[in-house]
Amino acid sequence: MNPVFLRLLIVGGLTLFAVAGVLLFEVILTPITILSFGRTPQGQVTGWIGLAVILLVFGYPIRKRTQQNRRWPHRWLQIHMVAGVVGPLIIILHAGVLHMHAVVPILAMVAMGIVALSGLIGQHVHYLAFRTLYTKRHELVGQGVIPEEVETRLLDTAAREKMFRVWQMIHAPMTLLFIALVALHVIGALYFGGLYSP
Amino acid sequence: MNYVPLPRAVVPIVTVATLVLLGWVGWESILFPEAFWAPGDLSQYHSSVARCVHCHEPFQGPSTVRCQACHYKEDFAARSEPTVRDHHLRVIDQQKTCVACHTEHRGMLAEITTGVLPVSKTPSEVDE
Repeated sequence: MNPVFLRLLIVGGLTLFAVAGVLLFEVILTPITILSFGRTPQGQVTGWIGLAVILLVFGYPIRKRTQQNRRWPHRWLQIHMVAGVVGPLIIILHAGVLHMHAVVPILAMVAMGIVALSGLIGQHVHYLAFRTLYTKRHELVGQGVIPEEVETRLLDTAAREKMFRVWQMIHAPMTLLFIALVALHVIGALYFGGLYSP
Repeated sequence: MNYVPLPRAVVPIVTVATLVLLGWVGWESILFPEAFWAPGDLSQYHSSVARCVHCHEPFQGPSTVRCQACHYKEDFAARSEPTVRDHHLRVIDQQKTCVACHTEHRGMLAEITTGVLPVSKTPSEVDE
């Protein structure tokens, strides 16, 4: 099997497995708590934890924009990717997607799903691009092409990668909508339920 | 390292879309507050409640004071069966919170009591 396709299959499968697991866990918790898990004090704390983890993802774009001429913030990208998957999973547990009712949190959940999914797609696109560049470089060097010529030829391949940047047009703008909807949800929850209500 | 920036048009488009979304949510919240904010439908017992703040104290949650605006002592004394009446008169005197035993927004047909009282008897059972 093509290793790129295999990787896509593994990441997609693990994501689906994790989401299904979290949903099942929430369904198991709900009968114990009478109320859906998200409405219990523990569920509310889970929501705050999920929000805190999600906020970690903003470290990467902030570092990227404030340190443009320095090194690529590789560590922050790793934190971005891990928090971008773990945070939404915690929020799915908090929300109990199967028990959702109000429009505002549903919209926030949809926005979060689009942002997370476009991020996963983007990560795969980048992986694909770097892998292609790496393979091509080795091929050209193997053929005895001089280093300057290798770089010139690779520029074409790198330029083609820009075509795949459509995911970024969704990922970044949807984040703003997501922030707005999360802010509405948090303010609404505090307004109607207080900071800590049963 | 330079990064490929997003097209300039993206920022104003997203800002306008966000403002439109916030305006829409604000407008619809006035018309359909329960659909936009409540974690579930109100039960049949409270389906006539028109506004969220009839039961919710802003930034404090469901308020015992607001519950007792409708479910006051005299009402329990006049309309409830003895078990329910005595229990609630005692709870009101002791200034306990209603949400310790009652909940809401679990659906039209859901029960709102979380199992502290014996199951209510029907009028025929009371006569027996």
